Amino acid sequence: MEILQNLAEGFGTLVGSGISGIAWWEPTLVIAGGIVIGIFVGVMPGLSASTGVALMVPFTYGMHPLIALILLAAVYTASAYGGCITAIAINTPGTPAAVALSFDGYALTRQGEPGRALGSAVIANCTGGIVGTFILILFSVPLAKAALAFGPPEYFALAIFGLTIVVSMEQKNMLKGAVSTVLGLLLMTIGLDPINGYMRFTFDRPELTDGISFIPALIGLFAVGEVLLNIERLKPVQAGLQTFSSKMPGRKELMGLRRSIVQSSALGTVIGVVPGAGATIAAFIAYNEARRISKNPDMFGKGSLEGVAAPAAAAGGSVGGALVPLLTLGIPGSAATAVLVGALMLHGVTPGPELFAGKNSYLVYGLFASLVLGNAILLVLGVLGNRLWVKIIAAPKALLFPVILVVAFVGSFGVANSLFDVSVCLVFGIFGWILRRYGFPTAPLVLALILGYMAESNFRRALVMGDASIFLTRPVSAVMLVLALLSFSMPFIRARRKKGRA
Amino acid sequence: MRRFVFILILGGILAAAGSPRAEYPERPIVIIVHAKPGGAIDLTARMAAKVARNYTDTPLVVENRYGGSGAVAMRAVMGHKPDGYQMLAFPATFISTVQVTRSKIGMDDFRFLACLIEAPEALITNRNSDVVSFEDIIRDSREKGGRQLWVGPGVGSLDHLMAVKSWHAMDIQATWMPYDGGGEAIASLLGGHGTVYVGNPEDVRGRPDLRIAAVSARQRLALFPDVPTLPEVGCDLPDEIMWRGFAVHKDTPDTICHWLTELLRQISADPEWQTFVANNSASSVFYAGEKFTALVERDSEQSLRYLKVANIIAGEPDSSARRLRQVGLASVPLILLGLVGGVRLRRGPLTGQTVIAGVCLALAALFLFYALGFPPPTVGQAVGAGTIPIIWAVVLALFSLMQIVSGLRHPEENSRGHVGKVLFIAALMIVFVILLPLAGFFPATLLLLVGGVYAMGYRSHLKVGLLAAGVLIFCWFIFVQTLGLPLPMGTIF
Repeated sequence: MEILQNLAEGFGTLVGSGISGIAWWEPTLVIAGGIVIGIFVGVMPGLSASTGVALMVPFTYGMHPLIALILLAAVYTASAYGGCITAIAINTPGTPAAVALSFDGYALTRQGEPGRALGSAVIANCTGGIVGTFILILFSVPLAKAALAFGPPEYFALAIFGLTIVVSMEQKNMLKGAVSTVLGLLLMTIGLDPINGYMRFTFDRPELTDGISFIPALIGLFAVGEVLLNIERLKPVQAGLQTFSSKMPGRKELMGLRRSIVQSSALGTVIGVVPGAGATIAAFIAYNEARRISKNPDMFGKGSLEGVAAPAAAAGGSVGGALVPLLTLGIPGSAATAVLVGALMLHGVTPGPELFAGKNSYLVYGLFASLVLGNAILLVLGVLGNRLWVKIIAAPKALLFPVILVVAFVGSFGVANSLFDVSVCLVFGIFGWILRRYGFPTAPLVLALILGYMAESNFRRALVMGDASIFLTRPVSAVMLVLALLSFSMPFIRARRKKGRA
Repeated sequence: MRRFVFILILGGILAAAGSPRAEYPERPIVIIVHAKPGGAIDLTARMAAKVARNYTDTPLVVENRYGGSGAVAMRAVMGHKPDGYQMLAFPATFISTVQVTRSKIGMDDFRFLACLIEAPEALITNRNSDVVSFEDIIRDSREKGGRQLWVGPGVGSLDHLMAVKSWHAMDIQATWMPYDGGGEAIASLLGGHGTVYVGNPEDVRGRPDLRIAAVSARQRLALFPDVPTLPEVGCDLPDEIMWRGFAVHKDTPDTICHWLTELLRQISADPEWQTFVANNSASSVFYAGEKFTALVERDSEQSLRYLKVANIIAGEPDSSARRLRQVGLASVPLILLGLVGGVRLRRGPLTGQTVIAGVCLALAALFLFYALGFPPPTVGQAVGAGTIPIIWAVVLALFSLMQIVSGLRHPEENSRGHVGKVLFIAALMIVFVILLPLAGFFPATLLLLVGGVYAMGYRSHLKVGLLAAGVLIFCWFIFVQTLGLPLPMGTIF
């Protein structure tokens, strides 16, 4: 209860102006501004949450530390949602976490119902954000301890568990999905060896030292590939006729999503706590788990609202999760929180457990309150914004597609200010079109690009720690590997059983 | 009258041509940073840019160019005109990463202006573990016989070198477990997976569970009076430091270098700068010109020596590895030709599915032969650089073969759409990417936009014009003005 009292105090600090030098309306206005900027950052592919937060840092120099902190946190919160918008609207995930959302979200848009998808996404995302904040407030200390138990064998097991999702995702065309996955895993070995420092497959290109840049490849596979595929399949008559509804999901529909939203919010928060795992893996796992508990698992991939809500809620929850190690251990839980550390240091505040006790404790409680408030504001702005997004989707394709291409290339460039990345985006774009044209799914390729490096580097690290038995003698890693095996084989067993019955 | 005007104009032209060049600096100076926004070096550069405003009207802007473990940023400065408008934020760790990656960048490609920050290297332990003090580290390492794990960021990084040097000086054996960043390595120490973390005193700030076991310094640090120095505990490493400085292209004129050095001197003396450095538990210093260059030379020489001791620098690929590479390269056309020939021979249809699987098979072969030539695992390690790529390559080859066989047995039909249109747009995009560095972002984008819209059969000229203008103005306002993205502006105009 003491904690809730502190939260109330935090709210007092924010809107009651407990601090001299801050007007009572200032924090709310700053949060709202941060939310708008964050949505924009999320919408732009290539501008990730961390880049968005970093770009805002110079603007906070002259600010009060509390105002700076809540502004950056608001940008971080909202960018998680911004990525969902483009994933649903044009099948171009604005952030890597939104990839899992594009499967069902974009399917709904193609059916002319982007409003329902966008509506459930924003509601799920904000619920996730608020659940994540409360988990952060109540359980941050035990969660941080659990996260520290995650060593290389556990990270490896988590990556393998994530990869098994491919199997349940691609039941239609298992072989092509397998080719796609392993191709991604192989491409991910390009670059400096994570343990020995040996240059692998770089063909003397310095840009490849750190491997293929993931974000430009993702933008290429999704945004550019999608545009090309659409141009090929465009039927001029039909294109003019399709209408898009901005109708929100009804109350009954939302109640049906309750279970998957709550489960995914908690999952997203907990996975977000583990430094380096993050929102993307959380979103994929939440998607898979939501399908597992769903009453209509066959709808997944064809426009299931649960398939939209689950990853959105997980992405929202991961924000609170990533703040757990930051506040309890002083270790950033994600790339964006790493920037937050730097920004706080500029203001002379060192994030870590000492923050709770010292004279700066108002910062922590103010931050908690700002996260709750920020998610509430995000909900309002998100619902209001729906009509705007639907209007953009309904624009003539001939105008929309070239603009998407331009945005994709600018985004790829902006990741590292590199022209090489623009070429990466182009190559993966054309490549993605060809793959999908012939029925090779690109989602497993993306999942492999996300998890391949994590799997290999931690496999290798674990083998530096001990011999191969380490994966099975450590309980957490052993349990996760068994789960991975189950998740891998379940679809096969189920398919066989179905066949046996028929 | 006409003649008078003519003379006036001619005189004006001559005066403009003959006037001395405007004084440096006449436009913003860019600080190139190799790391992502928000990292230590990025914050250092941004703080320097901010403080510089007190001393010059010329803005300093930070530009992040990451990739290639710094090689991309270094090449950006090396490839730029030596006109003093690009300054590289130079961290100590560049010296060894350049050597590890064999990137053909030399320290003599740069002119070192001034070093502004230094912090001692420190051995950091977890208070809640059995290994806390320096003596504990030595005892534990003897018990574990070389399996004691030291963690830190990167392979062949400054901290990795510090670990190797320490083992040498402490006469112990241990293993380096590299992470992608300092934060992850600290988490590994706190979780008890690693035993010693190599970093700087700033790493223990705000983290009460961490303790500095020993620090490389001649005297104890004022902030940590209880922490012994390495020489005190019998380890002859008195001046291992992490430093951050600034460098420019090696051919930059002297006058410009003096101007920049003077600016850096003013920055380093600024109270705001000094508070920033102190907040990071580092020391504000000013080593200009020769002193800084001597520091770089000392570090380069040491780094090369210890990287060899630690067996991190691999030699050139030997003759068998080179032969394997040639086999790999040759296998690509052979596989593709074999596939086409085989299908034709059996009079089967060559479908897209089969071609994609064939390309994957060729790619797998290429990677496989390359990976077979990678250096074998070092002693005590089960897997080497090649192991994982070999596994994936073999699995990919297997799946691709299965796909080829299944594709020949059950050929799939593909619906045909507007392939011509797609190919046109693809060609347009390729032209865009080629044009981007030459003509600049805005002309190239205009071409892509207008060409794309017309190619898709849209014919309302007014709307196309409005759209193009809108998008370009939006890009300019948001990306260039607000976010400061250095979009390419072209070289031919």
